[in-house]
Amino acid sequence: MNSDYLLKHSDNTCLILDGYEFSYKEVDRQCKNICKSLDKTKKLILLKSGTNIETVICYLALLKSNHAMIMVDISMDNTITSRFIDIYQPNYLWEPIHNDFEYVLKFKNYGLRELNKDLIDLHPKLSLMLSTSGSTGSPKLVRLSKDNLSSNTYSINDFLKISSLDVAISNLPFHYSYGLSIINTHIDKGASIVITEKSPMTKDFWNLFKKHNVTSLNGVPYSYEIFKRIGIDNMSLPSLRYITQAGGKLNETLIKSFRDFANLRNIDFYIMYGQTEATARISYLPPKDLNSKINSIGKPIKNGELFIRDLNGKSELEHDKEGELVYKGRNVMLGYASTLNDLKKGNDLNGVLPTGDIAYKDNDGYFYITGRIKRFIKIHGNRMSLDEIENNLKSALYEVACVGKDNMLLVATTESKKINEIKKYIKEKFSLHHSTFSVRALEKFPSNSSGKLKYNELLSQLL
Amino acid sequence: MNNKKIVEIFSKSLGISEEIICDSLEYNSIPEWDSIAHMTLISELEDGFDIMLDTDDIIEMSSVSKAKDILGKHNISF
Repeated sequence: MNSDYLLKHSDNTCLILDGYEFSYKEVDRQCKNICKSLDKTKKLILLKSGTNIETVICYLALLKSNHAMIMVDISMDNTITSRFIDIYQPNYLWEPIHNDFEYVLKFKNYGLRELNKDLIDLHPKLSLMLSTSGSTGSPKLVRLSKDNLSSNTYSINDFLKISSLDVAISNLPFHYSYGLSIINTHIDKGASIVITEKSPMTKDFWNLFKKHNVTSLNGVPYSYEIFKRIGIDNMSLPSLRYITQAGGKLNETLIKSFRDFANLRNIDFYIMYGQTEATARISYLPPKDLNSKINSIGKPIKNGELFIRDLNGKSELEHDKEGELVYKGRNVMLGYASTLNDLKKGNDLNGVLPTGDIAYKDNDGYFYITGRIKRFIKIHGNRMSLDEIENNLKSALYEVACVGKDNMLLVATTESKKINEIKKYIKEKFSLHHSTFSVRALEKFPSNSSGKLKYNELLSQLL
Repeated sequence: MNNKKIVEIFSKSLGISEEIICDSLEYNSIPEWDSIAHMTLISELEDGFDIMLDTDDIIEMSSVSKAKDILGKHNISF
C-alpha cells in the first residue's frame, strides 16, 4: 500500500452511500485534504470509529500518511473513551462535530480537533492500533504496522480472489479487525463498499444489498444466526458470489445449513480463523473441504505458518497431539500497548504469535481448535476477558467471581442482596443484553487450600 | 388482553420497564432494542402468540406499532 494506491483505480466506485457514490479519485482528494491539515511530524490521532464514510476517509487518509491512529468504537461509553485519551494523549481526535469545540478541519459530520501539541514518541513503524476486548473497556491495544496490514490484505485476497467487480456491504464495525479487513481487501483491488449503519435485521439493509448488487456477506457466528433467523434461505440474492465467517466457532448445525445454502446457489462459503493480533486473518477452510473437514479452521493463509506447541515446553508437537496453536507470519502485530511508553516500542514478537488457543493438527495438515488457555469468552463475537470483568466489578466494590462460556457470562456473588444492582451495573457498563449473562448468589466461592479460586469448579456449579 | 401480552413480551425481551413501551418506540432508538434483543423478541412473539413469522415480518418489524400491524396479519387483533 504505497501512498498513491487509491489512484491506481481512479475512476472505479469506491464507497457507496445511500444516494451518493465516491470514486477512488474523489476519495483520494478527500484523503489529501485531511493529510494537508496535519504537518509532517508523526502524530497520533484517535478515531471515534462508526460505520460511516467519515471514519473510512480518515482511516484511508492516515494510512496514506506516516501518522499513527487508534480506532475506538464510537458507541463506547464516554468514560472509556476518556480513559484512552488520558493514557495515550493523542494529538488529535476525529469525532462527530460538537458545537463547543473548534476544529482544524471538517468533513461532513466529523471534525479534526487538536488535543495535545506535544510530540509523542511514536515508533516509526507504528501505524494502527485496535482494541481486542469489545466493551470491557480495557485500554490494551494491538500495535500494527503498514507491513502487517498489506501482508494480511495480500494473503486474504489470495484466496477470496476479490476483483474490481466485487461489492461489499458494511455489516461489521470498522474498529473490529474483521470489518476493517473487508475495507482493506476491497480497496486494494479497486472494488466497492456500501457504507450503511442499517443492520441485516432491517428491510433497508437488504434493499441496499439488492440495489447495489453486493457480492459477499461476511459475519461472526451471531450474524449467521440472524441470517438464518430472518430466512435468508428464501431470499433471492443473485449477485452473491461468496460468504465468509470468522470471529468465533460457528456451530455445526449452522455450518451445515450454510454449506447447503452455498451449494444450492453455487457460491463459496469460507470458514476462517484469525485474531486482531494477526491483523485479522490466520487461516481458512477451503470451501471444497467443508464436507470432509467440518469444524476445522483449515490451513494457514498464504505466507503464514501454523504449528502446535507443547503446553509446558517449547517443542513442536506431531499430528493429533493437543497443544497451543502458534502462528508465524508477517501479519503478526508488533506487540501490545497499555501505556504511552509502549508506543515507542518496535517489533516485540518477531512474527511469532502464541494464539492462546488449544488445538491439534490432523494427518492431512488441517487444524482443529479444542479449547482456550486464557480466561476469556466471546459474547456475540466480542472477546471479553473474564478477569477484566471480574476486576472491574471488584473495583466497583462487588464481591464477585466470573466464569462463563461463549454467549453466556456467569457471575457469582457472595452478596445476595446486591444481585439486582450487579445486574444493572453489568448491563450498563458492558452493554450486555440481559439474556447473555446471569448473576447468582453463593455462600462462598470454591477455592483450594491456599485460597486460590477454583474457576473450573465454580463453572460447573453455575452451569 | 393482547395489548397487555405484547407489552409484557417487549418488556421481557428488551429488558425494559413496561411504562416506556408505546406504539412509537422504534428498533435501535434505545440501546436495549438492538439486534440481539430483536432476535429474542421475535422468538418470544412467536411463542407467545403461537405464530410463525416470515422474513418480511421480521425485517419490517421496526417499531411497536409495526409489530402490532404484523401480528394483525396473523389474525391477532389489538
